[in-house]
Amino acid sequence: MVMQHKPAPERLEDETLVGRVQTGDAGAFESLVLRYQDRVYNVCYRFVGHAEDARDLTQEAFLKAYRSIHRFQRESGFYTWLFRIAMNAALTHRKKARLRLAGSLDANEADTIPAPPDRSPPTDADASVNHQRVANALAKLEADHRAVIVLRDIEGFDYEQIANILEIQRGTVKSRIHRARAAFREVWDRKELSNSTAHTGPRP
Amino acid sequence: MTEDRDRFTEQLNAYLDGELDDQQRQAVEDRLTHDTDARAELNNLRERVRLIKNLPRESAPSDLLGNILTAAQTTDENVHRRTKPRSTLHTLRSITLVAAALALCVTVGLWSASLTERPNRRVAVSSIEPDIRNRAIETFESIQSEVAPSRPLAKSQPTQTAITAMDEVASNEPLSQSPQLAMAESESPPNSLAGAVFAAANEPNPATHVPTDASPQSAMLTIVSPDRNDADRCIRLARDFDTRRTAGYSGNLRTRYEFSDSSTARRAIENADSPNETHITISADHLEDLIRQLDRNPTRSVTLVANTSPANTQHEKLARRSRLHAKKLERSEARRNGRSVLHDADRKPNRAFSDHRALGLQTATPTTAAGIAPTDTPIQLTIRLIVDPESAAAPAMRPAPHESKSPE
Repeated sequence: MVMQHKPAPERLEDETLVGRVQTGDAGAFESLVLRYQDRVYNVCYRFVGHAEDARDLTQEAFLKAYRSIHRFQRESGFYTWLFRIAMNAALTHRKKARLRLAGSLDANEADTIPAPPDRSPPTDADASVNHQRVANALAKLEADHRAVIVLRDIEGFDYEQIANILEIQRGTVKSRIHRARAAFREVWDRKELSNSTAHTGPRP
Repeated sequence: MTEDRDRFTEQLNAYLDGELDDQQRQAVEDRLTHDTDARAELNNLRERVRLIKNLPRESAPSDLLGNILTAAQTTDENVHRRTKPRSTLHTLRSITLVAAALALCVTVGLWSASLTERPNRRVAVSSIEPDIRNRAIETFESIQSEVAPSRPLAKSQPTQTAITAMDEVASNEPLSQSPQLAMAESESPPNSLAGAVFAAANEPNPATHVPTDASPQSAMLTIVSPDRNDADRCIRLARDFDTRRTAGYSGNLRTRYEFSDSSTARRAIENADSPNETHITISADHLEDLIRQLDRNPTRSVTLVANTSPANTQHEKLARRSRLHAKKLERSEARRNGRSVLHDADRKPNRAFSDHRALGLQTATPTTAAGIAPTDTPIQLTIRLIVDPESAAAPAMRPAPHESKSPE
């Protein structure tokens, strides 16, 4: 059964806005950007682990959506369609980045991922450290695994929508999420172990 | 057993995500009631997922919206042209090419200013409406006054001209005319899509160029307009673009030089907003190198325009090779598709294109040489070599950076 991730009225509103963009209404496009820029940015950020790259990818995704909005098929929903564009851009970005890093920094890549910008007062230092470690563990995953985790656990898409975004079968989503979480656990447990033996940082 | 465990863990994940049907969910819950390992595993999974879900949500940077809207504005034509009838498609496409052209024009202008040993001012305007011409010139002047206030463009003293017609109709003979003539007489052809404005003014004395100079010494503007409204739009577009580019590159001549070389030109082509076609103006010295790069990495249809000398045999060879290349690609595509492919030249009522076959091997003739390459992938390589009378009278051009090689 297909679960509707978004409430129907919001989806209807998306379609109205898309229709207006298709007839040349720039204000409608602005509304769509305002509505989704945070979510697209957050997913890109969690996927690439870098604020500047996430910003570029978000911009790229919206521009691609804008340029090809006349090809938008309403059955998939604008939100899902937009994320498909964003994830395609992000996956391509990762491939290029890996090529650049091949043989040099790749092995340590995850450790170089910077901390997210500090947007809240450090009232809970432990939580902040923990978030950084979760982000680093995510960064250690293969791109395919990280993609499904970000889409499912961070953005909250259901399997059907993830299948739609990544253009894979729903069964593949199911098994990939299983493998991705197992991989995350492995990385996390390894980190836990090294943290406890090195006595660096608090345990979560 | 481990396989069974693995399958069950997969089900547990789906259970946690609420993705099982009733029967599957019941099966999982039955097992959970009597399997302590399974319960531990579920708790473990929950804990990991909770960790990830608790990551703070990052908000988009505050200036992202503005950047997206600005960038979208410059490609607005892409949306509009698809909602308009076929008759205006080429017109609108040509407008979208302006951005790419400007990127190259600005820096090629700078590059040539420092390379040549003589004052170099260029103005050329082609329009069917005097109004549009005047407005375009005024716009150019205002941009010019922004970037080089001490050297206003003297439109009565141009010494060099080039008109690049950026659609299939607007290119007519005035390529070798003086600017004054072009400005005065280019109201023909009657069916022309209104205007092409190509203007540049460069620092008269390149010796005074100091690499650390923070103020840009020259600017170049290209405007293509099908009608009055679109002319306005183009001009606004050009103004925005010019401002951004100039701001981005001011004070760094090295960057400008890099941007004017063939590799950067190729990147500009690849990154151009226009999805199918790019029209650029580039120094003839870099032309061959650029073609070679494009051949290696075909991405999109490109029209290259370069000033060259009628006596430049190198470019004659280039045109010949391009034509051969076109034929080869054409044959291979026809073989693959089991049909023949028309040259664009056969479809377009463009004087320059329809003449190219006759003139392609004779760059000594005053207008053009061109090769068109329909292809399996998007590339349609079009070369148009535009004769620049002043270059013809000038000393021999610098040799191409590499020995000629066929782009095939």
